[in-house]
Amino acid sequence: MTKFEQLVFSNHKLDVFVEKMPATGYQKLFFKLSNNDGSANSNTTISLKAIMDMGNMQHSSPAVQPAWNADMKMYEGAVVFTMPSGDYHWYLNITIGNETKQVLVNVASTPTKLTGSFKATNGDAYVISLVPGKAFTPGINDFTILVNRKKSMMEFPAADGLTIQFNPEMPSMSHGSPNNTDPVNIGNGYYRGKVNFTMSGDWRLHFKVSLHDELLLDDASLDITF
Amino acid sequence: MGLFLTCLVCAITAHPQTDSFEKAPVQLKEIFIQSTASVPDFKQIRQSGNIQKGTDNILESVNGIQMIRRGNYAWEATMRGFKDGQINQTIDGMSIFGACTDKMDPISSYIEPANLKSIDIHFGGGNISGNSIGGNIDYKIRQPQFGMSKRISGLAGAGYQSNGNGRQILSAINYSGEKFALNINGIYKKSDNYRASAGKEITYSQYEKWNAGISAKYAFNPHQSVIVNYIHDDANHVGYPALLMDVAFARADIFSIALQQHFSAGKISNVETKFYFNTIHHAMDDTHRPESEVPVHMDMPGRSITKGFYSQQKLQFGNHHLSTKISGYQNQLHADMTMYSKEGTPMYMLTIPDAQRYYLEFQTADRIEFGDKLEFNSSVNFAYVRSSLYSEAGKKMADGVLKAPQVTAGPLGSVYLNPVYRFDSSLTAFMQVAFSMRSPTLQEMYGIYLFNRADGFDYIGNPYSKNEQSLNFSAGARFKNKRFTASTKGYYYSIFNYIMGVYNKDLSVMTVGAKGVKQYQNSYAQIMGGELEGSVRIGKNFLFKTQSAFNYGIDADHDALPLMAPFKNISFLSFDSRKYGCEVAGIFSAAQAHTNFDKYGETSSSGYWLLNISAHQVLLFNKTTMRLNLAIENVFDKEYYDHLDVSKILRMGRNINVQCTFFF
Repeated sequence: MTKFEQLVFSNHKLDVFVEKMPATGYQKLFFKLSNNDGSANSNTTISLKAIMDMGNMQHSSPAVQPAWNADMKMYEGAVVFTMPSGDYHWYLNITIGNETKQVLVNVASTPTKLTGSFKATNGDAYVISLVPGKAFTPGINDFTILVNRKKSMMEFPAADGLTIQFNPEMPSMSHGSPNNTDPVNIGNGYYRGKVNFTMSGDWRLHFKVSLHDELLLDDASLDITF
Repeated sequence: MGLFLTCLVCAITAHPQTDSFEKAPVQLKEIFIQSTASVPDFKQIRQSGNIQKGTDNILESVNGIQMIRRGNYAWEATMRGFKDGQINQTIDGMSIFGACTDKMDPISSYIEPANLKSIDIHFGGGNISGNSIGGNIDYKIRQPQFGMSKRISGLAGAGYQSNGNGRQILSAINYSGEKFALNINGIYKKSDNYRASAGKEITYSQYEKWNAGISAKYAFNPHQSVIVNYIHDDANHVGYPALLMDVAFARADIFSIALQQHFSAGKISNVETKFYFNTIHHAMDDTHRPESEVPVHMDMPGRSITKGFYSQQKLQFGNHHLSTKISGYQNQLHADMTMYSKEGTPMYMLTIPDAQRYYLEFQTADRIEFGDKLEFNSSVNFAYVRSSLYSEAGKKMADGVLKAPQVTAGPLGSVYLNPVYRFDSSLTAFMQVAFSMRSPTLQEMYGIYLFNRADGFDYIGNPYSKNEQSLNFSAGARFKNKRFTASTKGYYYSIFNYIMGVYNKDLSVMTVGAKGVKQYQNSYAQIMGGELEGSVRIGKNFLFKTQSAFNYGIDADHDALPLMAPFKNISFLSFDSRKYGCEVAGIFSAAQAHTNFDKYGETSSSGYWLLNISAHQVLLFNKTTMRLNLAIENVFDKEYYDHLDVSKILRMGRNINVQCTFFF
């Protein structure tokens, strides 16, 4: 856990922590909020929004609002950096009460595609991101994805109620694997499933997404390597 | 488990002993390896194994054994169509298991005649085969002897084969004292690629190996001695032309310590207790194959570690000759694969996910003599087998592909009945009825995407596989007088839960280019056949001998079982005198058309016949002997392959083999 930034609000001090340096994909963010007298604060609402400034226009991306994590004694939230900073700038807008502070984040690119934006058959766009968890090892692994719908350039609400069929593939060998479990909705846009990695290496996770009977995404895929 | 212990029957049956030629059990074949200067009776010299002949060549000459060849090294023995986990191969009674997922290292490849006293072969389950279906091959290690007339003796030899430029040198030294005896032996062999008929070079068929053994025996007193054995076998850069990969190295370390006790009085005549440990390290190698044939370079190492013990007692009660044995082992197998494709990260997986087996067996055998004519052999075996995965990574890997249970454990049992009737001093008849079982091998239970070149499929294990169970009947007779011998045997096996790969259309292949995935399932099969042998002495020095074996196998649908050898006959005409001998041998194999292509991908094979000529000379000096051998194999340089040869790789064309062994 690395301290990434410290922000001073009029009534609070906020330390922002990351488990890994910001890169494209689902980025967990941890917050230690303390009152001005130094005491820890666990009952204040912190709001999070990521904004990418591309000069002539701006857009946001999916975010998971911070919630108190009693085990870690910190607030835990997340944003999805849908692309690396590249030539532009990502900012994290953090709001407590009616104060908003902005943090510049340098988002590195990743060798594999851990998040993607996909155009659905009905014209909507969806963002699917792999939630970082326990390191993958050969055999059956749990995995979780976050699915958000792009309502507008600035709004990416969590998408619940979708039916997702899943199968993994090793692109270099063109084979899949047996005994996978399709991800099921566990709320807040999260879907949890099981993937059977028969070996380490490069894998492509294929998702077929439907809403009720309507097929939205025929083949949305993410790439991982371990 | 406790139930089996309380059920252990007291009546222990005798381990059939070769007391005299007439009473030799008809089911056991022993091939003795000559290693001393004392020349056996010239009539028997032909029966003893030439110490310079390879283990594989010795096995191939046994009627009823057929070898599956994948090249010029490490042929796989099958007994009457039974192979792999259906037969048991032990070294001096010790259990040992190959480490290669592609069957490139049968146990016979880790042992050399230079290490051995004899090779004991028993067909059929039960009796000394224990819990096996097809039979047992035990490679008995040479024991140092006390009090020999020569304190120091030994041998040194060299051999050369024109085909493949094969060369070998070997040596052994014995020290024989009153209380301490030692044997040290070693062999080095190397061959380049061999050539089939018309000089056609078979690429990737080279091999190189060395093997060394040491045996030390110490007598505490005339009745008790301890014997320590160690063998190291080391093969490097071995080619397998029938397969898509070669072997970088195959190394075995075989160690045992045993206490032997003889009793001159009392019911128990001897007891042997042995503790042993062996390890095999094996690695496949595709770096010598052309890039075009290797879409993905793979590292595929494997290892097999076995620790075990046995304690065997021989007793006599009235007319019962009994033996009891308790034995057990733990075997651990690990095999993995790392694949390097042109782009991307290396891919690593376990192909045998750290599988382990515990095995405990109680065995009793009895030989009862009823007068001079009737002998009744019987045997009962009980075993308890526990199979599991011993690492978290292994359990996780297996759970993903196989949904393997944590532990599989259960009993095995065999019963064997063998009456032998001696009509008179020349005619003996026998019958044998046995019920035997065997567990699936660890590969058959837990193997993950093991590519089988013979049918082009990936195989995965079945942790729920049931034990194979076989009911077998055989009968035969042997006639022997001063001039003629004739023996005939017929057998029939009905195998329940026969383990074989069955195509599973829901699984996608892992090996690039494989036709599909098969999973081991239990089915049913029947195997039947017979063996005929005969010989006639012509005059004082000539001997004509012939042996034939035929074999027929069908699956549950009465379709042809794969890898069944066709009818084969080997006939020899030999001349032997005290110091020299020569022999002409003809080998005939019928065509094999009883195959099923749709189910097993097996195609038929043509028949063939060959002629071999050999001659030997024994030169006797003061206290030393020299044995010279010259052989011309496949005199007519015929192009041929055997039905069991994988990928129908052609066998050797003409080969001139010269050997010289000096015994001192």
